[in-house]
Amino acid sequence: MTNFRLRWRSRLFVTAVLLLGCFLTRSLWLAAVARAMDVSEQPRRSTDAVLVLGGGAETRPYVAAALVRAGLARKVLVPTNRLSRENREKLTPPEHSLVIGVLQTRGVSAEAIELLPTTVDSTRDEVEVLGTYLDTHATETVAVVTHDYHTRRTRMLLRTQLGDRANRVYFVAAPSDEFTQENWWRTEFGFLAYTSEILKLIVYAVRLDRWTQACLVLVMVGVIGRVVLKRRFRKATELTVSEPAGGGTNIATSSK
Amino acid sequence: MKLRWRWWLTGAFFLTAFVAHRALLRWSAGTLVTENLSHQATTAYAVFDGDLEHDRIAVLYHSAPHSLLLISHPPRRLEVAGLRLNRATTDRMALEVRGIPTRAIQVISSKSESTWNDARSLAAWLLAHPGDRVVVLCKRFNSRNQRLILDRVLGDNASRVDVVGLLDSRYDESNWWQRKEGAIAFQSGLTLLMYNWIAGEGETPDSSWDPDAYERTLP
Repeated sequence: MTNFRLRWRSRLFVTAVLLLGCFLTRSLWLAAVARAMDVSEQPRRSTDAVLVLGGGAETRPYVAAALVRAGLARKVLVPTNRLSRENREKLTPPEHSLVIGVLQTRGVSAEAIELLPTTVDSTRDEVEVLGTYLDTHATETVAVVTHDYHTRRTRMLLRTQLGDRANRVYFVAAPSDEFTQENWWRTEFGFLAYTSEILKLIVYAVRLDRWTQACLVLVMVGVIGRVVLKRRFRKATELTVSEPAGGGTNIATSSK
Repeated sequence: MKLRWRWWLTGAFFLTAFVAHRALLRWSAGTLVTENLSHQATTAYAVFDGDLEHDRIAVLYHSAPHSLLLISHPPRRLEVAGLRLNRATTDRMALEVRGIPTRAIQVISSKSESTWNDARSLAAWLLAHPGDRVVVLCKRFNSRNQRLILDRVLGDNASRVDVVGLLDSRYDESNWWQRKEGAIAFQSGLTLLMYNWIAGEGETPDSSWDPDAYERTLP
């Protein structure tokens, strides 16, 4: 009982020390988490087209427009978004109209904007639309513009759904107005954006990523193996402890 | 023996989770919802969350007409560019279409797009209208978070404010996990509640990104 209590106390102590360490070093590892989620590249090489993903009309189309104006892309691809309730009531324009509006106000010509006709409602839909585009434009390369924290999950989807075609795609990060990789946990918007994205990334990794699936299988095998080995070891220890006493009694009994 | 006890406990946990998962999920969503209507004379409704269903606000208004307070935030990039109207304007338009008279709608401005600053704007309004009571309308799974923030910001005046979480026609506590929108609302309500409860008010968002400066960094 004393051993049991001691073991739990030491476990609690170690957990408390670890938690305190995590808290004190949070700026380091939370920023590292944000950097790990960003697989974008600096826009240096020129591509045929830029695809603006939905969900960030405040910054993403501005980045796309900048790429076209800098001569790093020839045209901008805009997926058609599914209409929301407010769009249907004509209170707000649909997101693709906003994106096109931004591109035009930033000086991108109408000829350089291509509205992709298939209606999309999620990143998965957008990746499918991109796949269709890459099929019909077999030699073109595409830069995908999305928020930095959204790039890793999108790349995972892209590799799973598009296979080799994904090699013709690279990512350019658009910033967020409210937070950066270095301070996202200090604003509620940033915290919400990153925690949502981390959760989605975990779900997608378990469902789609072979490396994650292989690691999970290995971990499960390890846990089961540890339990089995622990049991065997315990049984073996119990046997070696009980054998001399039991054996002695038997000898004594038999001699009578 | 100890090991067996642990296995039994783990097994019982998973069995309970499997058998009672509906009840558990319903209960967990229930923890995000608060409804503390005091049934005292209300003077105004305050619309606190964007993306509320205007039909539900209109039904509430027509069942007991009071003033409607809308919160206006500083314009964002797309509003400055004239590509989109601000939220308070679109809400006003949608409510007027549903028969709410223009004179019943008041717009109060908030310093930034944060629930804490919205609560401060409401505090200023309450100070200017002593004796009035307000019902804050918000998303259902965000109502406990709103209550928490209002209690912290309003102090003694918090008792003059009730919070009502409006239902979404697509999901509620009994089925939120079956729809993407419900799962997102649950996750968002839970995250914000935990964040505001533990960390309190975060830093004010800094809208300092400049598209022109970004363009100049490109080769």
